[in-house]
Amino acid sequence: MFKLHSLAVLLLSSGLSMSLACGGDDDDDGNVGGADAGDNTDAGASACPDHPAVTEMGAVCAITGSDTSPITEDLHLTADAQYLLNGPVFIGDDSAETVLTIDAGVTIYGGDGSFLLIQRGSKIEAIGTAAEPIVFTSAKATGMRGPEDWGGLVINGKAPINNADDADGSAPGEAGTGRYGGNDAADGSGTLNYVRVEFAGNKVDSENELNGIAFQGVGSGTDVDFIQTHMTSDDGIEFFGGTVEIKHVVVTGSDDDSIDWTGGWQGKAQFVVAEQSADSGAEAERGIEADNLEANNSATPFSNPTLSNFTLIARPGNGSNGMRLRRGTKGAFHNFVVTGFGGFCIRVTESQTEANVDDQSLTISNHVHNCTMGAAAEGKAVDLVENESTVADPNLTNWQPQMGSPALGIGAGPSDAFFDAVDYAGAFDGTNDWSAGWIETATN
Amino acid sequence: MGKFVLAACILLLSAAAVAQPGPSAPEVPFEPTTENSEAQTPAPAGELRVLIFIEDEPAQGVSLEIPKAGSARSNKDGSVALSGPPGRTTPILRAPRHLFPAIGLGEGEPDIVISLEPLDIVARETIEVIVALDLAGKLVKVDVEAPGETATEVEGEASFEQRMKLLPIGIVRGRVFTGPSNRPVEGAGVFVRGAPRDAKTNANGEFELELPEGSYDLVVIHPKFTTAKLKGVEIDANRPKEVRVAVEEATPALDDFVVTAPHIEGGVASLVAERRESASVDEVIGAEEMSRSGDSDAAGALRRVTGITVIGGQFVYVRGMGERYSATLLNGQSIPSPEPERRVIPLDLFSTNILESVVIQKTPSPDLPAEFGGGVVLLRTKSFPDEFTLSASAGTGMVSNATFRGRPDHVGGSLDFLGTDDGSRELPSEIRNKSPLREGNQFQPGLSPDELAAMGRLLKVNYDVEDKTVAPDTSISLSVGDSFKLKKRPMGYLVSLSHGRNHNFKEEINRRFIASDTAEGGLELNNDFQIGQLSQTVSGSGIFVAGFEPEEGDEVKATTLLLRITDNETAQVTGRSDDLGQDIERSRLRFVERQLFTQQLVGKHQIDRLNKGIAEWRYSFSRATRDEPDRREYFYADESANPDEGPSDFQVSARPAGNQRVWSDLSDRVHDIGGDYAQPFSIWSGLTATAKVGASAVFRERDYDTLRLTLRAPRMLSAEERRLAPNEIWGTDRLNAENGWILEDTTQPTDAYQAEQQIQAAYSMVDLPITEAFEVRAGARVERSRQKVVTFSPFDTDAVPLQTELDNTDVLPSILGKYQLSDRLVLRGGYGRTVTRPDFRELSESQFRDVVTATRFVGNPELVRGTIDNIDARVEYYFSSDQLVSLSSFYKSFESPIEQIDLGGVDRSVSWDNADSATNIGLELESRGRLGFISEQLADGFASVNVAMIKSEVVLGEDSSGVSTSKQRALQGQSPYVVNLQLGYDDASVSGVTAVLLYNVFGERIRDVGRLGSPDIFEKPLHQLDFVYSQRLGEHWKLKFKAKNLLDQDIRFTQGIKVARRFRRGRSFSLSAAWNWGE
Repeated sequence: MFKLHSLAVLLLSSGLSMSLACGGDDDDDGNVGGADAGDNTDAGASACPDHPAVTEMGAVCAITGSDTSPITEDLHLTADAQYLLNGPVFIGDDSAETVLTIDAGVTIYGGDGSFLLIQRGSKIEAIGTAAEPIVFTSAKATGMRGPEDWGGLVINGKAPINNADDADGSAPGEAGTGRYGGNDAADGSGTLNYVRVEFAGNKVDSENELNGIAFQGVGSGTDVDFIQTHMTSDDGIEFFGGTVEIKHVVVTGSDDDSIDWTGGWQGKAQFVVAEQSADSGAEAERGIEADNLEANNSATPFSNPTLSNFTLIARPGNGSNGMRLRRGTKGAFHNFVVTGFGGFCIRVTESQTEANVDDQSLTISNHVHNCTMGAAAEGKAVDLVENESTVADPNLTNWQPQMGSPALGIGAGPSDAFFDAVDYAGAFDGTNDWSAGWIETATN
Repeated sequence: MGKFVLAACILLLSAAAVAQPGPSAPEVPFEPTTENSEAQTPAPAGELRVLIFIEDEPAQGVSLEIPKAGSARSNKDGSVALSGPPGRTTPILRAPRHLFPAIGLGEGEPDIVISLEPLDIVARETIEVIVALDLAGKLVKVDVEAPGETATEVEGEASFEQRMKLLPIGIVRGRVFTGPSNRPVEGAGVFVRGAPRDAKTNANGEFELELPEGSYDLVVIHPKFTTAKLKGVEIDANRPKEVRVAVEEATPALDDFVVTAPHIEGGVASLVAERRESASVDEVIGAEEMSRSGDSDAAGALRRVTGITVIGGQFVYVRGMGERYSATLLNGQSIPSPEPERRVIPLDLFSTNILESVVIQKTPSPDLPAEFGGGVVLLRTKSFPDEFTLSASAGTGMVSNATFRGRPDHVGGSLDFLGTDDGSRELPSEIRNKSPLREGNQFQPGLSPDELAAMGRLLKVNYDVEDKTVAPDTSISLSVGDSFKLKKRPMGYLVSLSHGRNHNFKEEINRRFIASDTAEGGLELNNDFQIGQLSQTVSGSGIFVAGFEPEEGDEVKATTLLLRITDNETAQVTGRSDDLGQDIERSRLRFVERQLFTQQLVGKHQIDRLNKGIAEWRYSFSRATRDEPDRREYFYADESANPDEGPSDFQVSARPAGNQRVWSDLSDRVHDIGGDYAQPFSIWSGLTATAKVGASAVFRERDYDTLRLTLRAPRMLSAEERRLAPNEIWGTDRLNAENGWILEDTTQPTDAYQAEQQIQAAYSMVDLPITEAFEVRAGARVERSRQKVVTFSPFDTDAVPLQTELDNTDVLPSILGKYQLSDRLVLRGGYGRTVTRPDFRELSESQFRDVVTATRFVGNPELVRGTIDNIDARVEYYFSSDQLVSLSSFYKSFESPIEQIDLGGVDRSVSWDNADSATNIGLELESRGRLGFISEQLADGFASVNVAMIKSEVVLGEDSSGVSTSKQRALQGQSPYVVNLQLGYDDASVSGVTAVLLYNVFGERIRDVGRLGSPDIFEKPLHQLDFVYSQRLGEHWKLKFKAKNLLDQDIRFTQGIKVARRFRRGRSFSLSAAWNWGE
């Protein structure tokens, strides 16, 4: 043993220098934007906020803060400047609260590879107005813009999901977008009022695109009222679990599904219009694609939202179904219009979803449909729509039901403090256009 | 070095024999006795066996004639036997003149006739006579039961004397005994084949001989006892060789105890001997066995070994433990891996052509790496031959479900048949230089859509899949080697090259089920695909070995090895994708080049001043690469409005993975440097113990790089356009920004990484013979491992790289005991502690997508290395040098084993965590023997069986189980049982026929763990039957026929009550002819 010992000492102490010679310098992992921010302050005249993550870059204030160096200091974006997401921007470190405040009228541009992600425990306070909405849009010049120009908006909250892998109720987000989910149904991630997200849906890796807005485990304490996603690749709005409630929502030109949920969304929605665009579309894009969970159709808590007053309008030539209710989703759908789809208006698949129809945990009421192949695909969808639907052209002009539309006076929606009392189906009552003035319609 | 000695040993098969010397025999006239006995009751016959050597080589075709008893011709061992009536006789040898080159080959010249001294045939006894002639036909030596006689110094033995001078001298000590009480046998003659050395046992039955290092056959002769032959006694100057020889009272019944298996390296007998003599629990498989079982690569050969299963045809699971737990060393040195995410070595790389033997050491020992779970696979490459050898072979074969059938293929490069790309899959340098390709905007510089479209036009338009008739398999090999003297010092070389092309087709049903409370069996069908996949594999290997002995007792050897496997794959997947909610038609075209280059240099030095201590040193540099240029993948999806009526309208998909072209590149490099010193010393009992110390350092570094491109249509394309064939839809004229496609770079920074590992180790151990029969090996190893991985933020090329390190120093004790109850019965037991370390990217928090499976992986920087306590016991009983029974048991207890787990979330993502604990317990039974005991006709038959029964359990723990369904389960890939059977006929020496039937089955094993409530996926038992037949034709030719996978069973994977995957491989048949000169 003597020999062994001395040899070992010799070897291990002989300074076999372990210069694992690659990669970066350990001491340099601080704030990426720090030094630049200093320069910025020196420049003086800039309207950019004095914040370590913000630098002046020509006409815009560039915001930097990827997952490895997220923004952990509150950031306030005022309307006297334009902003650019310089790559992925993570707000918060997934534990402490960081608030991103965006004033009305602010425009935030995103380029190839960028997206904005609000981590758990942090907040976005984006309060625009109908006259001065807050706009997240492509950094390309108008006329050159298209879906997939940049990533989109991702909000991670602490509300329950049904595919957690941790005792705190969380799971990793789609394609590495932080962790989301938790045990606080009333969790609040801030406010989105009069906010548009346009030309988003960049690929986040070789297999995934981001959505316009992804609500990942977002709680009911979040205020979402008057939002639009426009010309996005992948889905317009996707819910990954959570309890968030949304109102006055416009989803236009989404090239996959307009509204998509999975992972146990238990929120609410009222006044939602989703219209596909002839200039955008991939394949099999649906008005609503609703899952409980693909990996386990019976995972709990079930996806079980309540929706009222939505209008789903297909692009010309879309052969898909209007609503695909599948993989075990539950839910209550009231006062809605589905029109223009080349397939069925409603399709129900997988045995758990069918069982939900049977035990009435998946229900519809006051439904106006107008799809090429009929109201419902064979099977349980037929049971679902039976006696509940009106087969007729909803007679819409600019989303508004015209005089004599079957959508008008169809009956009462859900009675709940969240829901406004209505007697019509679809997002609009025929007179009041709540989308006027603040939404985008240009497709490039 | 042993090779030189072995050479002499085989060449110079001189031996001793038993008989009465003529002069002292009673003067009984032969013929009258015969006549008398014939006239009266027939006297029992005696036998005369003569071994004839010409210039130290066995002489074939020499006639032995005994007057009135007949004649017979010697076989290739130079042996000839005749039975005759007892009495005195004068045998005559008649040798054809062509056997004596020194006297010329005159046509029609008479035979050389040698008349032996008269001798006596004794009833019921065999007289052995050894006759040595020189090349001129002159009688050099006749040994007729001449124990103790000093061999005459003849020309042929000069080489032996030379070896005595050149090589380190070792000692063989032995004891000859008999009967149940091990009574010593005095006066037995001990002869060494090929060496003019002999000894006689003393009153204690003991003898001692000094011999140069090498492998020898010893013959122990005593008039009253059976002649015992010890094959392949390895003389090692470091350690006196102790042998025990059991002899029986001479009766014919014991004849089949006589060993007939030739001792060749890689031969069964030599490997059984190796296993018997090893201090540890080993399994050994040699070239002879690999050839006999017809396995073409190491992975295939290893599945015949007790307790071993092979997963996916590449990775070896020793005792049911995953590839993480089996290290591979090549000639004792670390080698790099061409696996993109793992350090494990895929064993399909190693063609059996270049392998001498494979040892699987199942107990840890201080001189092996600390990272050890089920066992260490020790690959040994061939060394140079003892004499000039030239061999060549060529063969062809077919696979029942592929050859001559139309199967999907794509246009490749012009050099694909050689296993290399001709440049047609190369990434255009304009793209590589500008990657990552980023689109610019008002504020940020970058490429315009037009520029991206122009980049796209640089790509070769080659997407189409077309059926092609599959060609037959082919193989060729060439090998040349020699040993000679350079400035009077021994030297040798070997060059061996091989090339083969194989095809295989898989038609698979591939389904995915997911949990659902309401579905039948709790499983809802999710994806439902049919896969047709043609793989065309080109494999090549080249080895160059050169050795030199610069000084007596010293040796330097260099081995250069190049292995290369190229898989050209065309896969088509059709069926229902639930992810998309559509039917799809997916195509994937791949070309994967894997290569291992290694240069090894080893040396050995004997220090005579230090009681013949042996110092050894070694250095190697190896590089493994994996290059997958231009993988193309794309799919069409059904856009028909009512898919319930069947898919009818396939259009190319615009989804993210709708089309992809991927280039990936791995380089893994290892430097391994080390030295050992072994010191023999005498201990209290007078026995010799050996102390050994050693140190080594392994430096490993790897770079991995991937580039992913996709074509994207910025504007929606019409259905008509999307229905076009791939070469049209992505044809150059459609790559434009206005109404076609542009190139998009989907490479993530995490698609690249760099990693390093440095291991320094030192050990000390002692081989201590407590008594002659009881030997202990004890020692400890100190090993420090530092590993580092550098990756990046998945999204941000400019972000600071993520760096994770793991640094551990472990002291790992082990002890092994071997108790030799008798020459035949050996008991072993041992304990040792080992470690298991995370692989590189398992440690990095950065998430990445596997380039092969597209699975998302998320590393875990919290991982620690786990430890394993291993306990082993084994009992072995040897009937002869190639017949044995052994029973082993083992118990392993793991602390913090690293297990793969599934994370939650919508995408499947896989991570790793330290499980709470795991145990693995098992029993292994092995038996091999000849069938002569059943009947005389089956004397050339043999059978072997091995069975392993293993039970393991991993306890994941709540914090470390992710969303995996089972929190407590067997180790992934562990089969509860594995059975191998072989039934063979081996008459290689006479008729030249070898025929073997091989059977293999494993019990169901977990292939994939279920997540979120869906059950684990099991691979069901698969019964496999192979048949190999070979026929020697004349002196130089050999034909071999192989039939593999004769049962062609469905390979099935089940999930709960459902079949998740099912495919067949097809039966394969091949025929080859080999020619060799030498041997």
